[in-house]
Amino acid sequence: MKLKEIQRLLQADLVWGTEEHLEKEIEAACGSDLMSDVLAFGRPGQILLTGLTNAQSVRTADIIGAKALVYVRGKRPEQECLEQAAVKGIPVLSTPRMMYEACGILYSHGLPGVSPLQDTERQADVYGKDAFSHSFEITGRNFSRAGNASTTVKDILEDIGISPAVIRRVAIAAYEAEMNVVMYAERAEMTLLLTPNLIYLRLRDKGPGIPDIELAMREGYSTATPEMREMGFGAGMGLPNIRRNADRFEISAEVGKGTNLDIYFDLLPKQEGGA
Amino acid sequence: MTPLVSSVYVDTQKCQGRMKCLRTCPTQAIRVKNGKARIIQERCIDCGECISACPHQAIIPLTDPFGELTKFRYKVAISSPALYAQFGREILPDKILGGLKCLGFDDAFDLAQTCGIVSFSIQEYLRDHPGPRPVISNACPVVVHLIQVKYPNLLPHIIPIDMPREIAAREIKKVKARQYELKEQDIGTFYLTPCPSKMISIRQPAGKKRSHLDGAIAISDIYGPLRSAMENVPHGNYRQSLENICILGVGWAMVGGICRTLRLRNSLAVSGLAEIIKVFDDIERGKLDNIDFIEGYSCLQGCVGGSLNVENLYVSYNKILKLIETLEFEKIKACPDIRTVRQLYREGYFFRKEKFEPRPIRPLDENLSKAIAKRKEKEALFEALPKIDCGVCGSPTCLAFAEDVVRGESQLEDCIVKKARRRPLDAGPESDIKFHQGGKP
Repeated sequence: MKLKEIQRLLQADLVWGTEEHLEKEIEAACGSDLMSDVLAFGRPGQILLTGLTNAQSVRTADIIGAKALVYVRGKRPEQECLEQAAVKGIPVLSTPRMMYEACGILYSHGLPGVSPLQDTERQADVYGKDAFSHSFEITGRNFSRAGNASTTVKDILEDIGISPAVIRRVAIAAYEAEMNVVMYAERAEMTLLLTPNLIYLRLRDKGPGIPDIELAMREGYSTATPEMREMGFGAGMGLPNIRRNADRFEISAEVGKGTNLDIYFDLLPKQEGGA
Repeated sequence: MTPLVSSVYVDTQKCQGRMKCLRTCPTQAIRVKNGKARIIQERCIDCGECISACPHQAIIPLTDPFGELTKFRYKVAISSPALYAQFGREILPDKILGGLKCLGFDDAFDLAQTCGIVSFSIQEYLRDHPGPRPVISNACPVVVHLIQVKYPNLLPHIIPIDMPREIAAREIKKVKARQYELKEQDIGTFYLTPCPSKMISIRQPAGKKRSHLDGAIAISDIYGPLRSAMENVPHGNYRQSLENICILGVGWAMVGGICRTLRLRNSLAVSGLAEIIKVFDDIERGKLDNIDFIEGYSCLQGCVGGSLNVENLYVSYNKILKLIETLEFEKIKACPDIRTVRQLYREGYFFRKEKFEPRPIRPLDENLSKAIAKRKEKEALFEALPKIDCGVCGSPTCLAFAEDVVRGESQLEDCIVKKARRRPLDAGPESDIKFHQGGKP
């Protein structure tokens, strides 16, 4: 469904945005005033309906990669919030409908929701209010910059005082994940999320995907070109290496579209206080 | 824990707050507050970059002034192979050692000899120990500090064999005390150093209670007097002097010297802190497991690049290289006897007793939840800063400044660019903002 269609259905004003924005294809929606819920379940390509008009709503929309923000009950966002939306390039709409009606209208017109099918508890933990997040853009084929994102991940974890052994595992997983994007995908967004209990690396790439994940997870299996091997990559250890270093690891892919990696590391309570 | 000492200190009389050091420091250990530079000890890895950067010579290495040797009844100069690199083939080590003895030392010891036997012991160690690869040389104290601060995971890679200067000092004290019926503490051992970091490794040795050395004298301090003193030292027999040189040892003055003279095939020789950091990143990622040994020096070209040398580092690198080539050409192998080294190795002669401990930088907060909150704050602050790293606030980069503010060590008002732009902190990124032009000149 195009954003233009959503605007029409909801009789919404375009508070900020361009005609071009209205042509965007929207895949899903979620409506909530609880930003932690949105963070927990949101995904790129969706819109966010909310009655929360402060800057948090824009930040949340930005983190989950929402394509638009819709304020319900005729609310207008705060000025600061609008400025941020403009900077981030997220179009803002305002509908006179209340939350229930706005959501119902869109849902009945076939726009799906984003409710998770599994792992709700863990995700909620990852995105709790104390979470820290940092996103990186990774560009495929850019070998000269490869490794920058994982180095930054390491710096952030050092700042926070995570133990060196854990940092090493996260850094290795982040690096392997980053290299996979550089070698095979067009681009990706890597997000580091941190809570006192968990480190979570999320990768969403746009690329060829993986036809046979089971095969790809086998040590030594690789589709790397001779050129990549010459550079010391593509020994077919990348994905197994991520799994080995992570406490939990999930992978899914759609051929021709992209690959999703979810990598989790548990932080033990004894971390607190440090040496 | 004893407070950390840095190998350099700032002379606040001379410091003009010109911030050259601020921009040069590779670990962002310097802040300029109220017009004066200040060194954050926990971040300093004693590389000495700031010494050369300062236009007012306000950053001073903590070496011992040459001439204050009177505390000891018997004084020995221990000459770093980097000293020989200042002279090359024109003046051979024999004559240099002779010159040192004219300068008030009771004896001058050729450290290259110890370096040579340590080279052999490294070879033994690499053969005997399958442990984590690559093994990392501990010759450069800056590299060791870097690992302690930034790469604690690599601590088990550091070779547990002691530095030649420490082994030499230990043995000299033992031998001379016996020979002259003195106590070991009456024997003063002084290292002639090419860099300030060796000084700190004597004052506050990493992973050791006490150094066997009693002091370090800058090569640049002793160079002038030594030149004059050597005028009175007769030229020895050229061939004989060459034969006294340990080819394995002189290589320690330059990057790659250990690997080259040992003919280690699977080794890397790296110099320059930025390059070392790249290599260490790769080790952590498991990309260099196939390498046996890494020789890393913070200074370009190795010890010849130390900030307390006199000769240009490329020239002195070349001088050492030519010296090694001459020895190879003349087929001189005044090397230590491998069988003796093996015997000593088995006796534990070369091994350090203590381990290197991690020395991580203090996290933003000891409490993990608070640390995460502060990291978020740092990120938010950074987003609101101009990101031009002008350094006027006294922190080297906008990111470092954001951290200093979060740690409560700087005030947001210190950012004059932000002030000039008159924009509230939480107004988001700066893309749409212009500099205020004009005003007072």
